[in-house]
Amino acid sequence: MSKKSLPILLILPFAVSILSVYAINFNVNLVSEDLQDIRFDYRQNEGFAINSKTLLEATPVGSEKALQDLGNALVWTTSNSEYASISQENDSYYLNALSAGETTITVSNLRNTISRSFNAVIFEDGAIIINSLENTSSAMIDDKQYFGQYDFNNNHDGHTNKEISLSVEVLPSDMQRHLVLDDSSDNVSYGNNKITFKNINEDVEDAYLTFSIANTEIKSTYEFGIVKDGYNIYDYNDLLYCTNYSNDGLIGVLQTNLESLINTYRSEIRGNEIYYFDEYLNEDTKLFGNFDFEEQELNFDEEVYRFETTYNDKFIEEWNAVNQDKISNLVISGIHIQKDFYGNGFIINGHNLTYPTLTSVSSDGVTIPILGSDDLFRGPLPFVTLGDHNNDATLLIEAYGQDNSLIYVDGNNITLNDINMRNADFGNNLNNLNTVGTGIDVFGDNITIKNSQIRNAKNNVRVYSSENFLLDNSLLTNARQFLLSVGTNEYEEIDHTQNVSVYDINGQSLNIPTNEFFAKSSDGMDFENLSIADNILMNMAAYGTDILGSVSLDNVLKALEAMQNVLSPISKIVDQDNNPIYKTTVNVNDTYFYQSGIASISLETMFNGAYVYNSLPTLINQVLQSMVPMLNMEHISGVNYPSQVTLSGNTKFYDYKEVDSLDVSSIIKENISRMFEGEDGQLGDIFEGVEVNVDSIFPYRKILKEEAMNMGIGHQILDEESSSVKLYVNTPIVYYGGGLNLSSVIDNSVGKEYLSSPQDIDITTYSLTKPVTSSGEMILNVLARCVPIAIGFSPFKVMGYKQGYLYGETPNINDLINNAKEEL
Amino acid sequence: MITLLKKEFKLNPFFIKPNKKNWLSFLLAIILIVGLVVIETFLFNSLYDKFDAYEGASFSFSVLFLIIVALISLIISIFYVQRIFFNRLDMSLTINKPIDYMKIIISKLIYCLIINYVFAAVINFPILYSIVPKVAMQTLLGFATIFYPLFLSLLNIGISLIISIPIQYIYRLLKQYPIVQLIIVALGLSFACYLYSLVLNLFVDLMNNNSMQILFSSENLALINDLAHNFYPYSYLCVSYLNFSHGVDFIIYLVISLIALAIGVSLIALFYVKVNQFEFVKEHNNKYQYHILKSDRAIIKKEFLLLFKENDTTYSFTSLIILQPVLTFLVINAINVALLRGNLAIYITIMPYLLNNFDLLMALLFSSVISLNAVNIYKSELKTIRVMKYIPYSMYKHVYIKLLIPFICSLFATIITFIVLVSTSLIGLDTFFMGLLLSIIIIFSLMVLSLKEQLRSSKFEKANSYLSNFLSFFIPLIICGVNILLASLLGWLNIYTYLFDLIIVFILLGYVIYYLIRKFKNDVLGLEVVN
Repeated sequence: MSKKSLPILLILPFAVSILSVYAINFNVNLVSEDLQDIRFDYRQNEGFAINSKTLLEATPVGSEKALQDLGNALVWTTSNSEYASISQENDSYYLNALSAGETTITVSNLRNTISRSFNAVIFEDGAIIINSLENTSSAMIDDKQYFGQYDFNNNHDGHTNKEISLSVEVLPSDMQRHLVLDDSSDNVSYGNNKITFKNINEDVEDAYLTFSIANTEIKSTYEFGIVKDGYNIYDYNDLLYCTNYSNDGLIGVLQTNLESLINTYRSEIRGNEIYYFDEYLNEDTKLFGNFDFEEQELNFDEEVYRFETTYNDKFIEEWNAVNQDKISNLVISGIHIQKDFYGNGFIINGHNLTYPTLTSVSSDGVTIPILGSDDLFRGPLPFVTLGDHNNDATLLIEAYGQDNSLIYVDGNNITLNDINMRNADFGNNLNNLNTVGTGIDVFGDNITIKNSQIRNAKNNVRVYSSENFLLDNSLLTNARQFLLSVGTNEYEEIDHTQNVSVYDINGQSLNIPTNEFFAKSSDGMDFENLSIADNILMNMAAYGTDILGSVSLDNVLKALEAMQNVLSPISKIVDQDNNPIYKTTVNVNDTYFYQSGIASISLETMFNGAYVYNSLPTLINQVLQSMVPMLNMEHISGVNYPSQVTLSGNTKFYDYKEVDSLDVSSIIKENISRMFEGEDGQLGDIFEGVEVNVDSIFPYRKILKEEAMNMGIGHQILDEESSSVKLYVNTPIVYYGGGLNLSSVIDNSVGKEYLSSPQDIDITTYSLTKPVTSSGEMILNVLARCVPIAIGFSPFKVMGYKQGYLYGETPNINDLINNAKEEL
Repeated sequence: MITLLKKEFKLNPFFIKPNKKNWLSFLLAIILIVGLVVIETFLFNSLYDKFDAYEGASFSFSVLFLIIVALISLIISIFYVQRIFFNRLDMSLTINKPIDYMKIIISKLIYCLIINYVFAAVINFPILYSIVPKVAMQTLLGFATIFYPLFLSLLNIGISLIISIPIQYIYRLLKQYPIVQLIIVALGLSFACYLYSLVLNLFVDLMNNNSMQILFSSENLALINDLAHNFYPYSYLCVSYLNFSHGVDFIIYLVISLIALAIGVSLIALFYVKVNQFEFVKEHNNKYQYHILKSDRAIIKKEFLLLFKENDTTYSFTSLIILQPVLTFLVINAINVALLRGNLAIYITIMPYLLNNFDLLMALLFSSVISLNAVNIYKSELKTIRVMKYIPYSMYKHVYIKLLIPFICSLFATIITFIVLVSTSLIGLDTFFMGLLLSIIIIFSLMVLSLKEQLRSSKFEKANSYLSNFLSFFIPLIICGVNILLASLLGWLNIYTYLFDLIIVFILLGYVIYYLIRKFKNDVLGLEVVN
């Protein structure tokens, strides 16, 4: 018997382990999946004899799902149908050369979100077709390809002067012997089919060479840009030496695609794994990373740039001071840019660095990424955590700090031109972008990103504490959270001894020192002797339950508003004329925003609640301290300086989403609802029949859903499939709430008449006034009030498009190409 | 044939009609089996739900789980076949009787099949009937499930029979070299222990802190799928059972099973008599070398020989006390990781004393359960009891020595165990000192109890060890349960609850010492000998 009972003891840990496993939830937020690329074999310039008819060929690159999407069908267009027209026969497209001249031939997906183009020279008597023998991306938005003045030598410890090899082809070929160099700019010389640079004085200089056929009118000019002190980047290591390996940074000029493994090397499936051969799929595409073919491994650990977060890390500091299980305050970036960078439209795909290395497929057929144990990108740092950041089991609520990024722009007066980047190829579920980090994290003054395509990130561009940032003529698409996130690192703390004007819970006005107002009570259960702030907060948490007696809602709200004013010393973030002191100013011009998870642009401010200030209310702190490992919060937060965003030109937001698909878990992480929900919830199903999810704790989506029509930003569409009316919103701007947010938006864009004024999403008032029908709902509501107590009582705000403006439309990347041409 | 079959059932203690003396023991055995099945079913259903969220994963998982269960039943089957075909008592009853040995083999084969079917049914039915509502063709699967244990048993018995002959030869060979046997058994169990730790650590790693998701990566799911579909020949049976379109697989499985069974039966028919005679011939050929030793020393030596040379004890107590520190550490460590990093962590942070007491519970259970195996003292004595009664040596002294030697061994293993636990920071110093003290008292009390039970048993009945067995589980459970209640309701600190525990175990100790002393002389003198 005793011997036989041993198996039970040995099986026991397996059973306990199973009991300890969370429910594995994967949220799905499906969007239209774009192609990753379009490939064709046309050079930058191609000649076509007049009256000829040529079959146009291109190959879409993308997942099976993307290829099957009708919105990704390839369509050919011409910029000038006077010279050449496009005809379609069955599934094939033809170029019909009509009259002598030049036209841009573009192939794009039907949604117009990805394209490739070349210049077609239609000739009658003859033509000169000039192409560089360098790589060209054909996905440029800028009309011009740029070359750096130097190439690295093999050891990257010196450089050689750049030479551009040219192919100058004359059609018909029998005229080749009459080809002459007609003219050239002063900064180049030409010989042996090679261009060399000379006398480069300006940061960027235009250059050209004009060839002609002797005794004819036939001429052709090859134009390009020369970047003074620029280094051409032909592979990933060149990129590292321009960026992460350089102390002060070098000017980089990209001359190749830096793609993911699967898009770079020939591969085959061996068993359950993909085996890669040392054989490029395309000459113009190298790997983003250094792949070990023997081990079949890719490791970025020694190559990435790590830096201490520039955001408020006071919580991390205080946590690490008292806990053995430390939280890192280091942020990781794939590319650390400190000088200008010219992307030339070549793709930078950080997929293998940023995307979880493991994937699976749910029973619904949705691809789910799974973080491998060695993955570097694992989500943002915490700004503040109620519970243990390192242990999901005891983490109740977490507000996020700075995230990792694929590109970190660090310095002043830096321009990024024609960047075509994506953090990851994520399929069609925006939630797959949860841990891929920011696309471009901007930190510095006078930084410009122009003519760029920034795709597939948690936040595509993050601009913090950067003045005069310009985002110009670009496309931002597919963000898990925001396409552009704007905020500041600087904040002001409360003067703890200053006298403040507040109200007590009975509406009585008081003028007392801050530290007296926010004093901690000795016992949170001793309701008779709570400090003033403690009493207000406890009455707020228990409002409607009669635990602490009856108080009026007006008095609660008035007291909370006054308390938030104390927590947000506004006088420190405004000037003498009471104008906000902006620490971040952003100009957005001629830029398209397409498909965000929550909103296109966020104007953020730090969460700044009483709990974060002084661990109030005492009772809740006592309860939390007894439940989970908690840091005793002491003045973690403060009030952020505001930011200003100016929208101008043809800036448009193609960002309609069904309200039900909004998933705000990326704004604030909470596990409280998990404790109550489903069979895996630790607290069982005592809340049976009560809706328990992130909306119950952080009701941003719920309020937006209920109020969108009243706000005038809801757009109802009858869904024919389900015969139900679905509510869509397009919210170009969201202001973070919690702490005081004095940020502002100046809208001079084409759609300004359709953009609503800021509308409040007030989770504090909502949680106080929400009708409850059961005791379960009431308890849940009390818990939901803990969120504003922690993050602050100021409302979130949204600005939405009215009247369904731009509903059903998608951005056309050709507009950006044309804008760039017009600028020239 | 029927008589032979009846004999087989009678030889199985489980089928002895429970009387008022051993009903509790019988009940505990049932509870044990039910407990195992419940845990197994819980494991299956919990994991099934998680696998079900992934494309095609639940089928592969179900197949793999059934295969693992089939392998466990194969291991059990191997032990059963050894016991049924090469049972000394049985041999002594039949080998010299004029019974056609083929009849003996067939009766044993039928018995084996019945036992295997029942066992396979008990451990497979809950899983299969959990699957039934989740798949297509439920009625058919529900009906076919009845036959699943039969088909599984065919192959298991076939394989068990095939390997039983070499096992017997090795076993009997090793018996001649006790030191080698001890080393090999210890090595074998260490290897099993290593495998256990490997599987356990992997499992716990996967389960804790949501890293379980890694298990569900496409690569791992493909690996599980490959394992499930390529673990021949069991995969043929399991796959075809869960997907009737794989009828050919079932036929292949059936053919393989029947061939294995035919080979097994042929081998046993060829070697049955030879192997069993080997046992007796060898026994008769034993030559003893006698050394004159002082009586005390001789008795102590005899006790050590009984512990380390006697086969049953070698396989249970001796090897287990060697592994006790490792096993206890592995299990407590795994449980701690699961409790601290997973879904249950919130309970531990709210009630931190749960963890201490859970650790204490496991440590006490391991030491008491393992040490209790040593006290089958008189069972192993067999005919020497008669000798002991003849020789001029104090029976009391004999009893003390008999008690002390396994106790010292257990004490040593328990001290090592607690040192391992405290040095790896699994338990604190307070739990170390108090847990060790509690453990020592419990072990001693249980051994005394067990000794008394054996002194009171007759030669015709198995010793009624129900009380000691029951208490080996009950005392640790009571101690830890009371601790948790005191800590949660009265807010007692660990040290006070431990002091309270000491009072409980001292009461137990007092009782068992009184119980031992009472009529001790009569019990010792009345101890029946085996002739």
